[in-house]
Amino acid sequence: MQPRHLFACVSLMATYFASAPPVVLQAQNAASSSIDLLQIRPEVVMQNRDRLGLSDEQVKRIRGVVEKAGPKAEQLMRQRKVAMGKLAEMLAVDRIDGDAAMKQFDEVLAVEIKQRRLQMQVSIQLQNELNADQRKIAQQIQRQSTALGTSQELARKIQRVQRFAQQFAQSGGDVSEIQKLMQRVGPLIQHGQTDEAEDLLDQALKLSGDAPPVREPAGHKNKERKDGVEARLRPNVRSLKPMSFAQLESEVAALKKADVAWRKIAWNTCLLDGLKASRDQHKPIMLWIFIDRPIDDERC
Amino acid sequence: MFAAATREVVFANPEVVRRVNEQFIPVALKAALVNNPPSGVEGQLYAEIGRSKPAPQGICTANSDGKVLAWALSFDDDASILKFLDHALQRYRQHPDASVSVTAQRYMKFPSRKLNDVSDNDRRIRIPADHGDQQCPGTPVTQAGTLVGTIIGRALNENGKPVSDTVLQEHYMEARTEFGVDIQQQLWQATRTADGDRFRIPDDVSKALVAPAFLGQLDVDPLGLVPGSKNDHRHWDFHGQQVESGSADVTRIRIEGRSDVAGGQDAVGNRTDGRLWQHRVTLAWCGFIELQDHHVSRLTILAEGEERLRWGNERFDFQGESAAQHLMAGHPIDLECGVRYGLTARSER
Repeated sequence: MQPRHLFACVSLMATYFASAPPVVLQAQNAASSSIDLLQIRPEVVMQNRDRLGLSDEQVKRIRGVVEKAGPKAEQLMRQRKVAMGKLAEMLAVDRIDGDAAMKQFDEVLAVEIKQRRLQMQVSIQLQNELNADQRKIAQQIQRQSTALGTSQELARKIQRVQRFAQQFAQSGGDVSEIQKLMQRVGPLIQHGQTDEAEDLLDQALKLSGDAPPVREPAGHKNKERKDGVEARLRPNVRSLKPMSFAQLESEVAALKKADVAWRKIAWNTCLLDGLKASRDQHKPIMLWIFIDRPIDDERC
Repeated sequence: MFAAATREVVFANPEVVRRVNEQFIPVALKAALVNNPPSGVEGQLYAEIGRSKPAPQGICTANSDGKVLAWALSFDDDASILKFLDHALQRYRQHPDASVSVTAQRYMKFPSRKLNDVSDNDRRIRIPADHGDQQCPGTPVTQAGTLVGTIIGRALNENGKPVSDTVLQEHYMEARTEFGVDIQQQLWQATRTADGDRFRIPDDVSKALVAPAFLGQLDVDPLGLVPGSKNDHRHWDFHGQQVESGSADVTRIRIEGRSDVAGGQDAVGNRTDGRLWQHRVTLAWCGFIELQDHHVSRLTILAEGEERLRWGNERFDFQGESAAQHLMAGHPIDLECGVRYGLTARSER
């Protein structure tokens, strides 16, 4: 296999691992993260072959695993996209055909389960190609150096750049600068220079807008927009200075205001108690029928 | 939106507060119970209130037997809110209980826009003294082991100080937060696996921190977790590092991270009622989480950053109109400022 092809397969698998099927994840939220932690990701192994001390034979076999899984992963990603697209269409109508939508939802779930199975299968094959020491090092790399997060984040950013750049191009924007940046991203990832790659992706995101266009809310019609590209606003937020536990508690406590106007009505939450008080005190009931949140929640 | 606007415009008005406390019995009911009453006698009472409801949410006055006297969904102006209280008191004097039939009045906007009355069904419900062996449906049910905390959000002025207003939720927000048992165990597992090294905070834990951190009413959830909202962009990256806790029984984690979420109105489905909004929250986080016996025992986290929120409605021209007229749509918001959030929780175990 040519290096470019292998890179494509590893990138694909990285994207594939990063694009954790959301429906399955939501359904299995308790377990999904721990499953992710148990897996060794292909790009972690391929990007750290020297550190892991992989022999040529091991590299060859691991390449074989990745190459074999790549097309299947791509096919499943396409299948999921199609299935999700159909589901979105079914849910977008005024009157949803419940049975058909649920059937389609089951199809999405079925594809996502296949995706998760393939992820685990690849991970098991990779782990079986490594000896005990290599496996331990790979797990450490994944854990310590945020390899897990970095690869996921890079994959997500690549997807976002693609999405926003496409929208940018459709709205008449010049994407040539974005393309130039993206051409430099691949080699950087290949050489493990993930920070530099992320910087380039951030630049590309900035150029592409980083947010879909939105309609102007009414009530703001006469308001001047500062730059005309408000949706592209990307705030720069500085990290917080380190604080002790006591300092933090003090800062957080200072945020709460005791004298708040809306807290001055002592709302009953029990209808029976309210009716009893109404009878006893000969007063009408003032009912505030509000959204379904826990009664002790001040958010509304 | 209705609940937020009602609290801001009606139940934060000092004169309304005074009169409700003195002349009425204030009861807050969850809309879900009125719209889908539970079984039993108490459910019948909820159903009786819901029988005349002009909308899923609203302000309603009732007599001592639970018969509705009048509904109001909005008001002509602030003065009309006080007139509605007068009106309700007058009706109560005429119909203090269910001994004679009472018609439920309904106002889309009090007093100028009245809807059809709903006649009494003359059904008298025998009101029980208490819930017996049943739990009050108004009491929140929380899964055992769930850690309940509070998040407070403040908009900052140009000097970086919290804005003094506490009535508008785009300036001051308090909310309940929950950390479920599964989330706590994920954090415990990740801490144990890290074995003292710096580690990535599990995604579900990070999401539990980020999700409630936004100003404005519930509807403008940038993560798209409430009906009518849609997430456009989400990213967070939190790391933890075990630090000295001073106790062998307590594992203390210093946590730091960044989050950036953006959302807007959903174009399809529920609540496509003309609302138009966009919301982006970008924060840097730091704090401590303490674990004890596989669970989170204490948590204090601070976040600072920037927030951009715009809210309006294409079907209404808010210019020059009283907020009391648009309780269903709320008031327009155009906010771009620094923000600070504080999150605390402490286990009672």
